[in-house]
Amino acid sequence: MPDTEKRRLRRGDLLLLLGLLAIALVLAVLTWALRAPGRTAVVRVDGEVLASFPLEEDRTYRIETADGGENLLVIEDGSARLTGANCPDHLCVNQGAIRYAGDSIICLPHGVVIEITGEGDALDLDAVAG
Amino acid sequence: MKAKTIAQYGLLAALALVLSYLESLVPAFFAVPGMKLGLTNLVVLLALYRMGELPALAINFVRIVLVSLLFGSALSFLFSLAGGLLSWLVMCLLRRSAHFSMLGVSMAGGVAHNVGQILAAMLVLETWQVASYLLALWVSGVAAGLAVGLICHEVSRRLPDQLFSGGGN
Repeated sequence: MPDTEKRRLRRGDLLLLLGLLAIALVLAVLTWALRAPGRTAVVRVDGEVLASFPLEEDRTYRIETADGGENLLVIEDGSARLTGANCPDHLCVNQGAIRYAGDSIICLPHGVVIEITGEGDALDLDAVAG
Repeated sequence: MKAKTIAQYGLLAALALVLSYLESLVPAFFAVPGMKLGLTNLVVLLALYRMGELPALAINFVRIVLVSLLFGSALSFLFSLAGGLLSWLVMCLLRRSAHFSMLGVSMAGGVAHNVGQILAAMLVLETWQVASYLLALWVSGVAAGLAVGLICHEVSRRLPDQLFSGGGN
């Protein structure tokens, strides 16, 4: 008899489920408590910082990657979003707008990451990222 | 290696491949690109319980390589590998501890799968910000693990002993 058949739900399973959900709750509280309004949108391609813009200035920026990828970054009303992309899945566009420090939009096919930081100075960010 | 063993590996690897493909058709969940729910843990779990730890690892590895070659990219290969290895490791450990049923093993495996992907993403994309997805991936890992565990239990119950006897290790 395979050992799957004699197995029923055990106490360990319930404890594990409760533990996992408790950690989820802690994560939720932490995520909510630690969020802070962002000040800068940092654009990275394959981990390299390509550009960074203050969120308070509205603008549109075309991100072009070496392999022909294009994403259109729109900064508006203190938030950043990707409105257009020639990637196959458009997941980055569907992620909508981000505005809190720590939020990010990732376009995996192009290796593009848009990151919101609470830092105001873009040059410092470059140094940290390097 | 006996022909029957080879057939078992092939069968499960093929099943895992099909599940991976189906999973890739599901549109982004929680807007985390390139990451997967880990429904293929179904096959790994089945192999783990019916064939053993190493066969489960081998089948998962074959699945990951094939899926990445067929539908994936270098990045999704790394994500899958990190998720697959961590989840396999955690499931082996919990199963050995004997305090958990298949359901608990599967839940932990589901969470480990997603945490592994996040860790890989943090390393590859060189950003900590991916960690903000941790909550969503954690919860979905628990949910996917529960579903996979329930399905796997029912599937395994119905598979005849002869299918796996004389093979594996």
